[in-house]
Order: sequence, then C-alpha cells, then structure tokens
Amino acid sequence: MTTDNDIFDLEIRSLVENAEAEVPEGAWTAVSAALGKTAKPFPLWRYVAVAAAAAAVVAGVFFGLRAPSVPVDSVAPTLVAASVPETVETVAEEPVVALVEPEGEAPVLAMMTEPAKRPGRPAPRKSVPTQEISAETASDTAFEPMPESPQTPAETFPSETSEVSPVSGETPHFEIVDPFKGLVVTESTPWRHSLLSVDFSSNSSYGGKPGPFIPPMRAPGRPTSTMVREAPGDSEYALPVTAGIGIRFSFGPSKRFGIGTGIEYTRLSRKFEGQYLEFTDGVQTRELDGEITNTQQYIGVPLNFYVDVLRGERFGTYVFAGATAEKCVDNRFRIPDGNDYAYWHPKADGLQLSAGAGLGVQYRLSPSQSKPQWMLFAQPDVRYFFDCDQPKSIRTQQPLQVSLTLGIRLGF
Amino acid sequence: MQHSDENLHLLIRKCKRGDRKAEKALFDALAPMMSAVCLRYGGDRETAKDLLQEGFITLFSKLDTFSGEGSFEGWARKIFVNTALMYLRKTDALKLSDDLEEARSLSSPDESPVQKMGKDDILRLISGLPPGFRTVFNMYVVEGYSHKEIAESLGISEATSRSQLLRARSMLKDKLSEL
Repeated sequence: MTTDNDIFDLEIRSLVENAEAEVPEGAWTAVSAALGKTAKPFPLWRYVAVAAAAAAVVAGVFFGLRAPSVPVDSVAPTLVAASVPETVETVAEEPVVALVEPEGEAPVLAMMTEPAKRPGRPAPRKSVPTQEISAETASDTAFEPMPESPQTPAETFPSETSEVSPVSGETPHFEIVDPFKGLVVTESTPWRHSLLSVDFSSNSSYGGKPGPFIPPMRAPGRPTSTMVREAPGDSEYALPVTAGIGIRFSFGPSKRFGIGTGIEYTRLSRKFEGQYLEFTDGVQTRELDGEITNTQQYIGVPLNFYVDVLRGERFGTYVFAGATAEKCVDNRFRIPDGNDYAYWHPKADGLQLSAGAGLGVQYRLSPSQSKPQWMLFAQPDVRYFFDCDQPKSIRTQQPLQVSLTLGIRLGF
Repeated sequence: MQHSDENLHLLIRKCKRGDRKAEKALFDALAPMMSAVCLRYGGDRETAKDLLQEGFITLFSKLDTFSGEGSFEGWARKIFVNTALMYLRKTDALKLSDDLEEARSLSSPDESPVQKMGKDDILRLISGLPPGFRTVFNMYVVEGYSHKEIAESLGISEATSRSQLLRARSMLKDKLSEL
C-alpha cells in the first residue's frame, strides 16, 4: 500500500534524482593536478617502438657520416698480429729504432731518440723513408755483442742485397753500445717481440763502421701467423658512434641527483693501405694488398653520476661524469680480394677503460610522475680513453675525444 | 549527460589511456549532476566541492573497473555516494541514534508541499539536514538503497536506519511547510 511517505519519497526523488548543480570553480584544476601525480601506466610498447625507431634513424645517419682523415704518421710499417701487444714502458726518453734507407747505400739502422709524448705510449715516429719489410728479410738470427774494444771493426757486414738467413750461420758483430738502456721490455708478448724483431731485423752498419748494439732477439722476426701490415701513411677514421640503453636511479632533494648505468654499443672504423698475410701452419698461404677496413665493435658498461640542471615539462638537461669499461666483441679486417673481400677477425683482449664528463639533453616520453620514466637522451661528452692495449683506432691515436652518445634511459 | 553511448565509450577508452583532454570532457559531462549529489550529501558548498574532487579522482583511478555493462552514470553516481559516505564516516559527521520517540514527535503535514518547490529548493533543504538524517535520506530516497544495505554501509542497525529516515523525512516536511 502506498503511504504518504512513499509518495513524499517519490516526489523528492523525481525532483533531485537527476538534478544538476553549479560546478565549483577550480574543481577541475584540483582534479587535474591530482591526476598528474597519480598517472596511470602508459603503453610501454608504443614509446619503446617510437624510441627504437628514432634511435635507428639517428644511428643510420651517423653511420653514414665519415670524419675527416686523421693523419697518423708512421715510420716503420705497422704489424698487427693475432695478439694484442702490451705497452712498452718507457722512461722520459725512449729510443726509437727505425729503418732508414739512404740512397744507394745499404739499409742502416738509425737511432732516433725522442721523448715519449705520454707515459706508457709508444713515442711518435717521424716520417722517414722506410724499407719495406717482408717475411723474407725478417731475421731470427741472434746478434752477439761485440768485443769490448770499440775500435774493432766488424768482421762481417751483410751486403745491401744479401739476405740474412737463419741457416747461414753468419753473425754480424757490433760495438757494445746499449742504446736501449732503460728500455723495459716485457717478454711475454709475441706481437711486441715480432715488432722488435722487425725493427731490428736489418743488421747493417753505418756505412761500414760499427753500428749500434742490437740486443739479442727474443722471438723470431719472420712472421708465422696471420697478420695485417699497415703501410706508412694516413689512416682514414670514421666518426665513432655510440648508442646505448640505460637506467638511472634518482635521489636527493627533488630527486635532482642520480646514478646510472646501462649498456653501450660503439662502432669504430678506419681505412688504411696495407697488406694481409695469411698463414696456415706457419706457411704463408695468402697475400692480399689494398685498402683495408678495420672495424671494431665495443660493448660497454658505463657508470655515471648525474645532476639535473634544468627540468621542463618534457625536456631536461643534466651534467654527468663517470667511467666506462668496454669490451671489444669484434675486431674485423676487410681486405679487398679481387671482386670480393677477405675477412680476418683477430681477438682483442682486455677491456677499454675510459673516463668522461659532459652534459646531456633528455626528452621524457612518459607522463610526468609515472614510474618508471622512459627518456630519450643525447649526451655529447669529453672522454679520455686509457691505454689498455686495444686494437689501433681513433681512440688509441687520440685518447682525448669528444663523442656523442644517443639512447634510451629508464628512470626511477 | 549528452554524449551518445558510442561517444561515451570512446571517451572512456581515451580516459583509460590517460588522455587529459578526454578526462576533461568526461568531467564536464558528469560534474553538474555529481555536484548535486555531493551537495545533497555534503551539506554545504565547501564540503560538496571537496567531495566532488575526491569523487572524480576516485572515478578516474577506478575507470579500468568499469566493465562497460550497465549505466555509466549509475556507476559514477555510486562512486560519488561512496566517496561521500567515506568522508562523512571519516569526519564522524554521522551522529546516528535509534531514538524513535523523537522521530515520532515530529509532525507530518497533511498535504505535500514538494510539488510547490523547485529542485534547487529541495536540494537546499536536503543539504540543510543533519548529516545522519541527510545521509540515510539520500541513500534511501534518492539512491534507492534498502535499509539493510544502508545499515551495512554505515555500520548501523536497520532500526537505526529506519529511525534516521523517519526523522529526516519529518524534518523536511516541517521545513517545507514553513516555506
């Protein structure tokens, strides 16, 4: 039975059920601000796809660029064998031996003493005419020290055209003058031994007079393993490109500071005129000449400290400093072989360590206050690459570099 | 709300993706009606504004739970009613008693003056009720909750719910008769 109360309720409901009232001023502003602080997760895959596409485009543009040639003077032909050489430790002055071929005379050993430009690095060599070293002329003959009297003429001097054969039994004699006093040579590196053996392979005198003392050869000078020999002249270096993906943990007031790490990929490339010698079981089976391309690919793990400088709605800038350890995962030589190419992949041991600092620009892909934050970043920086016996590249020639890293970063 | 069902669902999908423009559009569509709901439960404009903001924040955060079946408006209204109830519980505004004697003492006019009033007047009168009366009255009369549901929601007995309703209804009638 419908009571008065029921009728009253129905009347009230009919009036107010769908009633509308004036919306208070500023209500949406407050709601919008609150929503911004509690943003919902966004579809990650969309932003990752956009970021990956953008990174691929940028990387493609940079890979297509070529840096101007960086001339690198080399006196002696550079040999690259299968193992990476250790640095020859030097004192303030490092005597450098090069092969000099005066016109019409027998090849002689010229002693040049130059101060090393930086500790631990080989002293730069000046351009002088060099004698091309071939496997045939490399000698593994041990040189005996001269008798004490400096006036004693050498009994035997190899002629200009004669070959020094390991089986000839001839042992040239020289004055006992140790030009390498103070030179510390590490014995365990076959490459360096072969380089020394090449440097010292010619044991001619100075125009008939006793020449400088040649220390005993520690390793055979004749190459027996596959190698690439670089001709003297310029190398053409490509612009190094680094791409990475990182993660950053923010802390401190307003989360302005951060520590980050990640994974970086770097590609180094250079071209040079050279010779490729392939050996099988100690026997040379192949020899190719031409413009050789050496490409090195590094995977690195950086560790950086960040400080945000400017923060906008989407864009932000920051400064950072840190270090990176990189491993050469591929060291490839491409040698022209007729209409095709031959490839050689010597192993690169050790890690490339570097330290750097710079500033960066980042673009936040995700809504503000969402967790985590996806960001695109580009950071030019100055980096110093420590001498870590890595394959020759623009880094070994110019250890202090300005580089550009592009990538995606996940922020927490 | 003026939006068609299809447009409404598109709007809701955009809101779920965090589209701020879509959220603003949905706010504009719902806000007038929900303002009335908040005014009925809040009692004053300041409280109604707080309830409105809280209600929308809750609505947008729980948007993923809307299955798409049934009235979105009804779903949204429930969120605002629950927001209002939580607020009233938190502020201890609900002073409910099951004193039926006091309820019975209130007069009941012979004819209904409701028909002479506009909805704004009714809203104002309802807002002027004490919190306990107001809450139970809104839930029972306007939202259509049963006494059992009201009792469970407010943590009171069904008898208390009934007495609160009686008192609210009587007070409203008295105020209407005074106008």
